[in-house]
Amino acid sequence: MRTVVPGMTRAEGVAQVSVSVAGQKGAPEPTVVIQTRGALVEGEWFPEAFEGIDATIVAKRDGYRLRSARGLLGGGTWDLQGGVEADSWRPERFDLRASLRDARVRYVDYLPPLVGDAELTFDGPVDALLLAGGITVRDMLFADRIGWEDAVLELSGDALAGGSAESTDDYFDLNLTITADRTLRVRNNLADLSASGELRFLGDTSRPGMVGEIRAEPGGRVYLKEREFELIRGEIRFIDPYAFDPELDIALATRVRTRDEEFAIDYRIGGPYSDWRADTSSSPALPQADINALLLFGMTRDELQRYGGAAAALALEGGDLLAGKLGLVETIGQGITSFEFSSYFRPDRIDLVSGASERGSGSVSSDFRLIAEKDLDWSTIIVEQNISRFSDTYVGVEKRLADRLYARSYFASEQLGRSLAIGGAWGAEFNVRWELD
Amino acid sequence: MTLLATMLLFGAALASEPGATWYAGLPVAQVSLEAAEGSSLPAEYLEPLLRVRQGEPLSPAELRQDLALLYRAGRFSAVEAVAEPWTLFDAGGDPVEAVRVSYVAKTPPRVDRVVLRGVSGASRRIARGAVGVDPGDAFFAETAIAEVESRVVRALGAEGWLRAQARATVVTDERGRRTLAVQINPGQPRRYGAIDVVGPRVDPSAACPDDGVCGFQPRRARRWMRSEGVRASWGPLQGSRFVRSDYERSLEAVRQGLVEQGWLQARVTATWFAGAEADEDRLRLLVETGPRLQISLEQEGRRGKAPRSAALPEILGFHGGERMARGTAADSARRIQAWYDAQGHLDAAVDAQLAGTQDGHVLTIRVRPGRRTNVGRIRVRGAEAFAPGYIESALRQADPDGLGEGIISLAGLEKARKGLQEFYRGHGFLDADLTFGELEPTIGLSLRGRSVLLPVEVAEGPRTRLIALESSGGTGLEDARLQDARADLQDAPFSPGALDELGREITAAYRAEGYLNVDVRVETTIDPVAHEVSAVVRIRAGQQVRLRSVVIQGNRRSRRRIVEREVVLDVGEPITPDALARTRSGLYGLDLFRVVNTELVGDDDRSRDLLLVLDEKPNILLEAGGGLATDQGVRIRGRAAHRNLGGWGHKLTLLGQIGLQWLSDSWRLDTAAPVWRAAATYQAPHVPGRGQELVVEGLLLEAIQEPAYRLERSGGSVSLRMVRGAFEGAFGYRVQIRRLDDVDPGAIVPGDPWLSYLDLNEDLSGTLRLPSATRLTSGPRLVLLADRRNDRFNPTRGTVVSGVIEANDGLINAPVTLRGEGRLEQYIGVGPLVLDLVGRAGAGWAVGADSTLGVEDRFYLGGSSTLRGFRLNSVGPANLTGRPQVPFPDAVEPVIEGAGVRPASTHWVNTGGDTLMSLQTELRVPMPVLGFEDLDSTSVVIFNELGHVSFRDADVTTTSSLRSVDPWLRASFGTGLRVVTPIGPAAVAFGYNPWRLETRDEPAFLAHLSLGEL
Repeated sequence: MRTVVPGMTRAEGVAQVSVSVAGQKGAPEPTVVIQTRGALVEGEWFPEAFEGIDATIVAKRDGYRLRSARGLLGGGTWDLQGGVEADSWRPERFDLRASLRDARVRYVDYLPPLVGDAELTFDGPVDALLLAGGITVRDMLFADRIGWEDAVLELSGDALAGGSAESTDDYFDLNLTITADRTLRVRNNLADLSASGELRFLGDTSRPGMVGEIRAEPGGRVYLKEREFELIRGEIRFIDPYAFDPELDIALATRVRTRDEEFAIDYRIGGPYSDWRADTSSSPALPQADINALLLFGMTRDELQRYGGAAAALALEGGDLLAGKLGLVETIGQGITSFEFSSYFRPDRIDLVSGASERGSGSVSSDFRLIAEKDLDWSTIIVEQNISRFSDTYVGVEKRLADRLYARSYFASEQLGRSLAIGGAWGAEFNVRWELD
Repeated sequence: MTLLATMLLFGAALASEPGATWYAGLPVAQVSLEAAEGSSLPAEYLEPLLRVRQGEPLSPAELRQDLALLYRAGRFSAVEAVAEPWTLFDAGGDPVEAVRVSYVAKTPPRVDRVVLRGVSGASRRIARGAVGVDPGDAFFAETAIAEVESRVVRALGAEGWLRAQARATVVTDERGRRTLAVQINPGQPRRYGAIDVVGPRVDPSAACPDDGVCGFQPRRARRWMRSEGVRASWGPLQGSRFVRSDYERSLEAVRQGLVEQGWLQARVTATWFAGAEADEDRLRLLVETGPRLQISLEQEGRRGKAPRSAALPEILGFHGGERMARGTAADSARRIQAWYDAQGHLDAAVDAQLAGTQDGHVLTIRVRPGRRTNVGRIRVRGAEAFAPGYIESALRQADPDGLGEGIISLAGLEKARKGLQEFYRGHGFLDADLTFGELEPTIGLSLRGRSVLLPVEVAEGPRTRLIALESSGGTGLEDARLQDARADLQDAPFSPGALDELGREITAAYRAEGYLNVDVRVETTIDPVAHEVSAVVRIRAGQQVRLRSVVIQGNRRSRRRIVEREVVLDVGEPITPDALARTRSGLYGLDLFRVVNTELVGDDDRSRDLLLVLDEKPNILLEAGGGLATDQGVRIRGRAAHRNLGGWGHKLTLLGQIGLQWLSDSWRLDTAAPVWRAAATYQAPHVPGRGQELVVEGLLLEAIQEPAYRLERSGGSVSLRMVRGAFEGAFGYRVQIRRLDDVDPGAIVPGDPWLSYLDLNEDLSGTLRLPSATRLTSGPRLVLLADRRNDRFNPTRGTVVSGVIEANDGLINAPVTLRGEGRLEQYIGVGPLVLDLVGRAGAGWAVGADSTLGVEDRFYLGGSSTLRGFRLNSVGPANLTGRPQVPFPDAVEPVIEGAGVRPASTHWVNTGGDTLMSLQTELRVPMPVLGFEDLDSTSVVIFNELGHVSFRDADVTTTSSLRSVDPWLRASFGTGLRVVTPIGPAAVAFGYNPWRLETRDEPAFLAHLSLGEL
């Protein structure tokens, strides 16, 4: 098979080939029937193996017809119908229709697997083939940690800038629509949200293009370092089909309480993905540098200087970003998750941070803290441990009581306002938001 | 959709039916849009949208487009076009055959309110979602009522209310408002009764009856179910309500759990039976496991970590549904080898055997991992066009998870090789190749395994040059870019990436002029012998698409005018992506809309209608938060905002906060000293004119904390803000009641207007009264800003000028004061270097002899944004003052020290001054200029800052002025690093004070961190 099908890496199973010839003398009409049962095919062109292939193909001089073709793919099923018109065995026109149900495919290795259905057609004359149809995403979960530190702090530029891949041939045209109705989910160190989207792939295989947009459901949560934001708006729009450089339009809001004041901060991320920019505003109004300092250290620049936190902030930020860039977080995370925990105890998210703690201690510390979060069906447990000072521990239980109503109870080993002999500080917090007409 | 199809078909029939095309090409005598009987036209004036125009020949295609647009834009239920014969008279008075076109639109009946009765809690939420009708939606009672009832019953049934009943009615009140009322009787929800799990042999360890069929281990099943969110499916929580999503998830969890245990083809079928109680249903889960695959991984030795057993199915690609075949073992060995390879075990030997068992298969994988390999060094040879160090960086970037992390893997090396080939290709070396030599051991300590040297041999091959760059088919918009590109790229090494970028730039240039359908392709012809390339940029510009009309949908409460104001395109102008983006951004900026969709409607090549589909946010926002802690007491905050007063987008925000601390060690709250503040803001955008905003603010007990004082202020202000391009301005008037809650006596100087409020005399004698008496101030304030920097976030060229003038006018209270401050920042580019100059000056006057500004209005210098060799606000006059000795505990000592409070009997308190001058000079040298080619986001910074703060009046004295220890000019020098980031420049700076005053306890060095432009 490898000699016939380029890129094929694995083919298993038995094909029964029957050849019959009918017709008049001088004009025989051969018919080839190929039957496979439970065959398997895998190739470089697709990341998953096509398994359990039951197919019957009838080939004649004037075309190839699929009597039946079905099988398994990524835990789901596929079904192929139609045929190919031919002229003296040479394909002239395709007319194929494929259905996929509940298949789990990881097409691009830097994206998580996609579970979904698809209805596809592949038709047209051989010199003008079109792959068209729709793919419905039933579930796509981004759970891996995203190292955003690299996106923010690049000491060096892209050494590979200006690279160019060899061009691909124009095999066929594309008109594919991918839709997701709140089935794109992000639950990692960066966000807890769901999103919908409609993306259309167009162009051809030598020059594919994409237009459309992905829109996050408002009310989700976004985490940048240890700071938690409410997602007001999140849109990613692919406007120029061939640039693959979507426009970002993300609006976030959070509140930061310092020793002196509480600030409501709006954070907007906009511009093309290749050159995104963050724009900030706050109430009471602060300059951008102060807002960034607030978000990172829990204090304005003046407060940092006033309360002697500048040097600590410097140390923590350098160390923190370096830890992220050097993969220390992943290493520690992998170390923890590599224990043969029962899945019941394995943290869902783990991160190494510094700066303002979950509780907002009011002072800047360059200590690293390990944050682990575990989602239970009734709540989320948050554990924060200062790894250079083991006496500094925070344990919180957070429950989302309604769409925008969060309640959290916690224990912190270090007390802030007064010190009582009760082992630490105990407390509860709530945060609720309504919108009505 | 059905209606749309009907309408389009009607339109098509009208246009194409042979007997009905009598009107095609006839002049249009009149065009009108009329409401069908019983309908009304929307407030939106739609007639300008029509393509069929009076006096022009009638085109059936335009007729069809009008029908489609009216249906889409007017949200009609049906639109018909009626063509009637008409007669016109030409200039000579002769009759001309013509046609009169009437569009007859039928508006659908709409619902004004939706009311649900008989449900509450979860059933209400489910029913409300199932109704699928919102106020303002079209609703045809005759057909839709049954659908609504059915949807509600189905949705409730799916969530466990199996006997739910629904009855929907539409009631019209005397004012003609239609209410959709849905009376629901949900009945009792389904509750879990007993749950039986049955199936063929599931777990060999479970005791099974003689028939070979045994129950699923309940404990394990329960664990799976519980971990997947079935809150009360059985066992101790039997009797809880059925929730479909949890139920489905649990079924999938059981199946997935089985898959994880090796039953790859497991199936779980649920069947419900009547339970023992009337409202309980018994659930039976039939678990069919199919054959089981047991995976055993044996790793020789202790080198390297083996994959977790739970991760093996993922590594082996077993997600469920797979069958074992002859090639499975070999494939598994390949995948495991790839896993070890990715960890750096280049020599891992993997053997996999698949054997049949009584109930399935055993896959035994034996691994000899070998030593893990770590990159000690990369040695690059043969690279001439690029420095070896650069190639090393590029290799690490091409394989970020491998070489980038110091791990060598075969797959990673291949990835790096490919990446480098692409890189070379992008720079004209079309035949470049890379080979990796034998790894050579190096001496070095590594926790990751043996450290090796990776030899890389680069065969660059000949460099192809671009000899011609032409274009075809363009309208000339590409000329300037093409000319620049020729200068840069022609006769230079061929760079496919640069040509692609040129194509994108030309596309953007055309789109920016309204050529939305432009297609730009760069075609190249390579001469492999001469190593030359010719490129042609083929442009199909298409038509310039102009805006024909703007249609707004979904602004139920917001007035059309405030939406129109944000549309930056005028009718007839070319439509550009940037204009659409700015329109969308402006509309989002109003904070009135949840979703803004900008759709271009129409299939005419030359024009489009802009359809703005808006989804309004609710008008009122309420937010509350708070907490109770055993150490910090209670705090509560709330915010209420009305976003859209009168539909004009005016916003009223009320804000309140209160905090109560515990009384000492008791559990009683200190209600006598609450800490609270409140504020109210009214914002009226575009009042009185476009680009302006009227803001009325009121605040109560706003606290301002500074190193030397704490001020509380209450009051109100009215201000007018203006934004026009790079210019911003605000003018306002404010009235405030101020009170010094706390002040360090050292911060007070003779002539300070606070003296009498603090019960102090002019010579500062007297007993300090704290908090002070309240002081009234009032006066105007003018703020101006002109920002002409090339980039707001990381500027390298341009100017920013800002100024503030504010006064206490003495209308309510003396003294009259005037305070003005200006700042000019100029970025000067010197090649790749950037020189940043900042000049600042300020002065204040208070009427009366020997007077000065109040402590909160004075000028201060020193700190991370001014003179970086000095502590915050520490430049200029200061008083030496005593303070009580406080034995601070060790835990708070760092904070105390940072606050400038030291365990000495006296300390210096900076008073600020009423005159300020400063000049900051900063030179930024990009690292590539210094030879660090790959650190192109980073610059080295060298700075010098000069500053002066003093009191104009010599009679306003401080300890430092009396002792003449204040140099007239203070200076600091320093250096640092500055990294460009998307959130603004991240800068680390070390300031040095060369002439420090030891008596003032000034430090020699200070470190500063800044993120973002100031």
